[in-house]
Amino acid sequence: MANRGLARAREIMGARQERVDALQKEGKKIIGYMALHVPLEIIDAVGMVPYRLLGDIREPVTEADRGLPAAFCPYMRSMLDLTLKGKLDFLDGLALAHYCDAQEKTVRIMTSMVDFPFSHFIDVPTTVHDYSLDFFTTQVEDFKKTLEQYAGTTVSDDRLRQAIDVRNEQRALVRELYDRKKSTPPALSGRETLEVILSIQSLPAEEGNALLREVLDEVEDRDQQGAEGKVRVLVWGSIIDDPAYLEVIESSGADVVIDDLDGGTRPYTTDVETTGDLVRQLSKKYLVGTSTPRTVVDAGEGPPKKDNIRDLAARFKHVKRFIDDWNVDGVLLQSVRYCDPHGYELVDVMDYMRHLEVPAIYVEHNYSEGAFAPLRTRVEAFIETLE
Amino acid sequence: MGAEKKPSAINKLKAMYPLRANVDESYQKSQEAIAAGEPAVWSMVNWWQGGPVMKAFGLEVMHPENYAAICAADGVAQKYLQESDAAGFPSHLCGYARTNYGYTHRLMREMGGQVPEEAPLGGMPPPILLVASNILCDARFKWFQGLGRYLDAPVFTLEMPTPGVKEFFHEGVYESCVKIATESTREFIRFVEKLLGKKIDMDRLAEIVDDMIEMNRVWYEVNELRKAIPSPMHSRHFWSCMPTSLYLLGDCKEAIGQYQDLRDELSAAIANNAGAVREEKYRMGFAELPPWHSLKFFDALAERGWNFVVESWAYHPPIPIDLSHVSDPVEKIARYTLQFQTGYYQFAKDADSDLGYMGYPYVRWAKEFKVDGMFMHPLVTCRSSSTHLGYVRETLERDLGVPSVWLEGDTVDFTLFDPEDALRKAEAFEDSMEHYREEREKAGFDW
Repeated sequence: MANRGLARAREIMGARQERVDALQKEGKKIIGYMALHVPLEIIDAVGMVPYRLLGDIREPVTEADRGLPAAFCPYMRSMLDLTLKGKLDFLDGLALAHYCDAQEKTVRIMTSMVDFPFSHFIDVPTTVHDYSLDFFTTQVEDFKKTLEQYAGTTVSDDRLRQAIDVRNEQRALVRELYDRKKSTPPALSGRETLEVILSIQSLPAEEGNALLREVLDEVEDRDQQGAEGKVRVLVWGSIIDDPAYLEVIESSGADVVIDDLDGGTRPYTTDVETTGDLVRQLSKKYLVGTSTPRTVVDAGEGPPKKDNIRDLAARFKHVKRFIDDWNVDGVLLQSVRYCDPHGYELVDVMDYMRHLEVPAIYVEHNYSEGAFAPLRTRVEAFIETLE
Repeated sequence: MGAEKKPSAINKLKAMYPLRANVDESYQKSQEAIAAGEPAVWSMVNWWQGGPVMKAFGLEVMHPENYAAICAADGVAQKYLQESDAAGFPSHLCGYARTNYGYTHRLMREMGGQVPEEAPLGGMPPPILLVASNILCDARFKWFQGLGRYLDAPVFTLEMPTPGVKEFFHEGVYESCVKIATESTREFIRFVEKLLGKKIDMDRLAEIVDDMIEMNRVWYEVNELRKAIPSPMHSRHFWSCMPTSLYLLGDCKEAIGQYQDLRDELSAAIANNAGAVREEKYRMGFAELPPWHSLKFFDALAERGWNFVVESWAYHPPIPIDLSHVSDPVEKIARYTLQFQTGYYQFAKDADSDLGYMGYPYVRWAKEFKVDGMFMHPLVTCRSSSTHLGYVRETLERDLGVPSVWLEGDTVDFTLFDPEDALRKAEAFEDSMEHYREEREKAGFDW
């Protein structure tokens, strides 16, 4: 392990399996999960390693037709394809959650078609009412109990608090990483940022934190004197789990300075409070404190009338903050085809961008390398309008 | 002298007509009430969670999903789909949603709130409330959020959990599901009370809930009778009869009588060995939502002896559940809708399947209804009703020796469904069904 910092992150991204193999040789159990509502701290606390499941845009989908239709989220199709090809056989278990309809149904198909040593499904409410949080807390408690049984251990409050502290530190470090991108030019690229984030999602939490600290030290020392900034772009939308996607945007003349992505800022914007009932606090973070299009958050207005702009401002206040604080010139809205939560959200985000008078475009893609050429064309044209 | 109209190969059921008429009458009644000043509500199908509450308030409820199907059958959906695309909504969204977006765009941006002249059944006037539901798919709550650019009606999203199959049986999970569904329904009542400025009549709600449960119990019995060989009722008639139950149309007490009449008619048909098609050669299942614009396609298949005996899980009533011990009508609603969602979970768990709703019920039905083949209709614009079809196809073939024919289409966009091509594939599929019939016999199955 000669590499450190960004080089180490790139190395891990290039060979995620190698680190997993080493961990398993050390006796660690690897639990695969998908974004964004699985409380990782519980997996940490039982002594297992949460491992973020990614699709593969370079792998032709040849097996997924057995279980999913063609007109379906291509990321989920990729996930099922990898599962049916045995590429997730190394996992010691799956921790699954009701992110979206496509994911919820796909994971049911995955676990019906392939036997994993352990799997658990966490239902996630659609709204953030108190009763929704009550329900989600019981779901998280059930997950904790089931995983404890599988691990043959019981997690004490102290142990859970330690795990939360480590993850809170990780979230703070990631926020710090993004803060380094407020400068002109940003201290690290979008591609580098994504490589770091996807890497830490493949590692034990402490190891991920060490990597983050290395990266922060490294970019602190970067000599940016005389470098010119490019058009500053926010990327919003559905999963991007291949850094090459952001590299296409950046090599087209933009700096991806901030994002609103599952593979980017979304898991890291809020922390878990460590007072009171810890399972409830975890549930609060992973339901109320995790903002994605799949959860209904409104302006808190009751009847008789809805003020649409107030509603949009409540739903996308974090996007406005990103635009203001990262001095964003334009917004690139992107989504894989057939993604319903982002597909429906798109028009609302676009309306809000118009209201804010922030230039925005929408690019839809099919989660493959074939998406890169049209993406480059669209981004280049968009940048021209911003310069 | 005009050509003589060819009689349909699907036998008519007299008791179907009053049930089918409830759709038109319901729209007409709503139109009259709205014209007289009553407010309109647009609601997603909510599988009896919000329906009885709105009925108890006396609200005029219109269902954009159902209305999109009517627009498709009427031929105007295509216009609205184009309006939706032009307004910037992605073309891969739910066909029902796109129809509604296009309709609402025209209603509010082009007609200033007046119903467009081409809208069938008098159209849907602007609502004062949008009732969303998270059951079965994301579209059914995201869609109404997207209407905010056109309508100032507030949105209420009903919560109904979707637990995992094995997790559902863990200690405390069932009761936590009941709790969130109950609390969400109570919150909905408070929301509507605030909106209307009046309290709900709980006695009236209790009466409606009990009638609704009884109506669906009879409707469930009707569908059980379809297991007879030959089966006395075809899917086309099911789709005509189901809106009364699913959308809670008309008076529930009257509906109980209408479904009882249907049950009696089917019982008589069974006694007379009368099937829904002239000669039942193949007993078919249909998954999931039908091509509303091309239902005559089924007549051509009926000519070939295809009798569709079970279909569209999401349109069926839940397996009956005894809730007589529950006195609170709101909790009763919660338990009842949860039964719709999870009623097949125990069977799925026993079969080691995690697709407790939508997917596994078809496997069970194929056996119970002695199905020769499954007609899979994956929809390009409806992921929820298509996701499970591949799994069902593989499981049916592997475990029961029941083959499937796979024909892509759409509920509203007729350009995505080719009836001629479908018919050609269906004809070729008969050889498969014959082959698998022999295979099932060899394997010891009783059909």
